Amino acid sequence: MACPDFEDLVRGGAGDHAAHCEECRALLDALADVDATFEAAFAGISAPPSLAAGVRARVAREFPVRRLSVLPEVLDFIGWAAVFALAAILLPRFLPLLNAAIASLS
Amino acid sequence: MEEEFERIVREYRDKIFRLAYSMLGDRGAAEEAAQDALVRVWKGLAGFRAESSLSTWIYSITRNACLTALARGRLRTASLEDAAPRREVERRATADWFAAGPPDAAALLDRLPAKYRQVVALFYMQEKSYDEVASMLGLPVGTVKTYLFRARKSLAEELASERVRKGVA
Repeated sequence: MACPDFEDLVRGGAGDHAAHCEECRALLDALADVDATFEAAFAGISAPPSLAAGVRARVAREFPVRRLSVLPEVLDFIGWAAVFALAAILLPRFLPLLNAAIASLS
Repeated sequence: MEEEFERIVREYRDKIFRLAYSMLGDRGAAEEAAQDALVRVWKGLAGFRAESSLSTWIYSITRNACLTALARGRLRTASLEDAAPRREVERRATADWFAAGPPDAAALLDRLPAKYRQVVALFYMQEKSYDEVASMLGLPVGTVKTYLFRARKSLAEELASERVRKGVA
């Protein structure tokens, strides 16, 4: 009986043919060894614990959280203070004139 | 955004590291490239528009980070792709790679064409998930299956025939 092709052999496992064919049995054994070797070498590989900590440190270093500047608030305060100061200076001067104008109208 | 990034780090760090390791073949270099990739993810996360899936985007960033690492020549050890010529000498020196019992993984990988090596390594790292490997490498699942089938077949045939020829059980 002719040997099945590799795909059928792998799918059928050590079936009737492989049980009696030394060549196919050797092939299946070799395949099992190949799988076992790669599993032993690569299965369970995971990131080292230092990876996440390293990333956090780099992010903190390369992208520092910017503290909000107080400059706009200060400028805003100065602006409004100037407006009120100006009003405080000008109003006493112009208020009598305004009152006189209103009185003459009435 | 920080919470989202923390979730990404938790969920993807192993996969990113494995992908980097399968491309670079060196743990230290893989860790460095994985860090680069995650920092790039942080940088781009605010602008990520979900035109592709998050995992596709992350894997693509990781592959690019690894290619950058390879191009910069930061790697002191050879990558899996160019390991073959270097190890050719070692292979000649270490006879009987085909001897009974599991052979050496590096020796097996060296016997494969370059394009199969990364797929094979990643397949076993990712608990034999074709879909995951395809997604990580940006390849169709069918291509991953074909590469794996051909790689395993070629190695098994070579190993079996060497053993028969040398009379190793």
